[in-house]
Amino acid sequence: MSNMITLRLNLVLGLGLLASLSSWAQCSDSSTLHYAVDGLARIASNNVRATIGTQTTGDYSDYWDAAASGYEYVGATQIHSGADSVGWGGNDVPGYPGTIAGWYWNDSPSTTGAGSYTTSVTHRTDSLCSDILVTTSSASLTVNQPTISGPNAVWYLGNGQNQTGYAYVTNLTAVGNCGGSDTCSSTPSWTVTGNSTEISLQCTSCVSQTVTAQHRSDTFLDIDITISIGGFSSDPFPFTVYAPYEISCCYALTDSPVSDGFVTRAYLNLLDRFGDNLPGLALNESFTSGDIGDFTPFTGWSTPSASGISAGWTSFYDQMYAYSGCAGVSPQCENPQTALSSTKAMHILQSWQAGSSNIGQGIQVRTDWQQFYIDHARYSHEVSPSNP
Amino acid sequence: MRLLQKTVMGSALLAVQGFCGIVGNIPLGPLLNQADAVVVGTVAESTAGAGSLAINLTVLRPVKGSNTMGSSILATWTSPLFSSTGLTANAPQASPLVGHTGLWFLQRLGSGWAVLPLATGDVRANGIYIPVPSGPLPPAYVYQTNASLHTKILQEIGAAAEDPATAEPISRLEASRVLVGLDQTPLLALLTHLSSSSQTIAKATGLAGLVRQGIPTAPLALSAIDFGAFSGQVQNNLSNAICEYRNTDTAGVSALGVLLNSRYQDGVRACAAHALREIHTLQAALLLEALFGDASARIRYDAVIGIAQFAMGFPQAGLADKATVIASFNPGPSVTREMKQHFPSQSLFSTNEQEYLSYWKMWLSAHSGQQ
Repeated sequence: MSNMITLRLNLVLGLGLLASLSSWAQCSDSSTLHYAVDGLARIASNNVRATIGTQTTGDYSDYWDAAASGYEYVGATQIHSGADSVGWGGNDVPGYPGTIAGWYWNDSPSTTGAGSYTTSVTHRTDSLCSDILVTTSSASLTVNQPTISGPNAVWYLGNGQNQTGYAYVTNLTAVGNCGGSDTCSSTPSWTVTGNSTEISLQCTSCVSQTVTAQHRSDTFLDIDITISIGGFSSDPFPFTVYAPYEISCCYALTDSPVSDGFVTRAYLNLLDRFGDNLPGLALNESFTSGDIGDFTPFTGWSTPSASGISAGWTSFYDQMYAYSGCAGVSPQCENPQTALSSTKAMHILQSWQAGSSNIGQGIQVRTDWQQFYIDHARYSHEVSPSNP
Repeated sequence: MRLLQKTVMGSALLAVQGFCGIVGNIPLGPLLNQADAVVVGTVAESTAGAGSLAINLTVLRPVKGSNTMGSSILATWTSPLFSSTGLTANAPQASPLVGHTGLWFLQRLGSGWAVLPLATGDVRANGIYIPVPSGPLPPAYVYQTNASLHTKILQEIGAAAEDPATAEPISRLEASRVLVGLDQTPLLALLTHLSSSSQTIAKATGLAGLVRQGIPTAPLALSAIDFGAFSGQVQNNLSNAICEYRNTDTAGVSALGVLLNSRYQDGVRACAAHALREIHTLQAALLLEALFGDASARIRYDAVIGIAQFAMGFPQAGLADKATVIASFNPGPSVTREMKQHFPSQSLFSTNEQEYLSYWKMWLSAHSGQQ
């Protein structure tokens, strides 16, 4: 893009775009001045503007000429070339500046790309003072793509569930990567591609973004978030929604006597969809049935009560008890025998949820039967993941 | 001595107390900070009430706080779970824990003390203290009164680990990862000492802890011993520790390779594969590639993910902090969309294993010479 312009350099000075200012020559009263402008800057629309100009002014000079010729590059690639010249041969009017040889190049980095922008200009000026001056100038500006900063993951733990270390919302920031003196202040616009339904954005046009998990990812970094500032887009910011997946049983199982009965402890691991452990994530169990007797007559066994654990644990286990009053129930419970009994007493249907310590809330990761024998307990009918 | 009020338990139970609950272990570091006092004490009296347990502790050794040796502490443990379910006691006898000696974590509660349990959830009476021997500390575990709090605790735990009466609970304590986060210097010193113990369980506790700490000599030692010498529970603790080993040291990685051998039980092999997946070196990746034909789907999956993480330049992270580390990890420009698409969840992997196995086999073949 090239715009031939008439440029008043005092205006340019006011905008701070003057790259160099020199008084190269003057006649006897020091009022004849020569100016050269060569500047690169980002502007509000996020474009890169090259400003090039040459000018001669003076109160006592009837004639002056100004010319400029130059190039603009991105890296080693020339993207523009141009030349302009003006002359003045009018009456001597005190305070009237000469016209300017100059122009702007406006480029959208979305087209011309990021990189090192440079200009190279030759300026020629003269006046009645016979002070012909030829000089060269250059300017440079590094243009970086906008970027997104912040964590690249959230956790889906069921609607609205949030746990320490497993946040379901996170904050991202659009970074324009403009220089300190630039004015590229356009508001970033946000788009999601890839598996866009896995997250929701709080705003589509904003600097600070809030991302909320909506659904779990099936591959690592399967969501791309992009910002565009004045048409200049960032690279995709890859993003993942993690989620609890399964509870694996059991890296240890113990059966111990308690009073007249027993306790079985099952040591389990909670894993996410990529096979990583999830230490400390709140967890709960619920029972989806009452006691189901496996023995006739079946009397006196009480119904287990569900429980949950809050965030912050380092490991966890499940306890299955039957004790105190074993002699009065049928079948009669007892301490674990050297050879564990195969006599079944009852079973109950268990469901496990991760992401909350509140019974029944969170992501279901496992179902099983708690099978009570008369001297120990085991899981059977295990389904994990229960929500693949 | 002030007598504890006693509550008579119901004697005419009509039903057996059959129930269950989840228990989550709490790391000792935060517990130590939270406690106003930590003592080695023996329960002189106890009373089980509705949803609570009152105990009278005789202090054998003060570890934190101003309690003196021989003094008494009246403390209460309250369990919201038992209050809410209406169960009258957490243990079947009227005076639970009497005669038991342990490390107790206590917090000021008005003019008395509250017991801070070692776990959250369905905690039972045996989950509110760390069992330790009642006698004086063996010379190897005696500590100065001005030693750091973590050193004192670890010395007490060490003494318990070498005592046959408390070795198993301490082994479970180590396996529950609650020691991770204590000061490294005294922790490593303790684990190293235990790993050369003449007591089998203590030795295994030390080795498991060193493996968890990523000390390369520990998997090397494990690969040279007969797992069958240990009880099933201790074997489980050891194999679970292997899952957490993180160190790029070549000797340690080689030892993990040995533990993949089919002569080891499935749990050991699966954990060795999982540890290799998290190490992210070419040496580990090549060992993982050899598992592409393994009979275990979990091991095949870990093999694929391990090579993918290596290819993408994943930072190494421990079990406890991986979620945090990966949330701030952005792969470099060499990571292609195709690579990301071949980093499947477990469920996606199971739908088309061959796709992922082939892709990463080719990737490793193309890149192994460049590493």
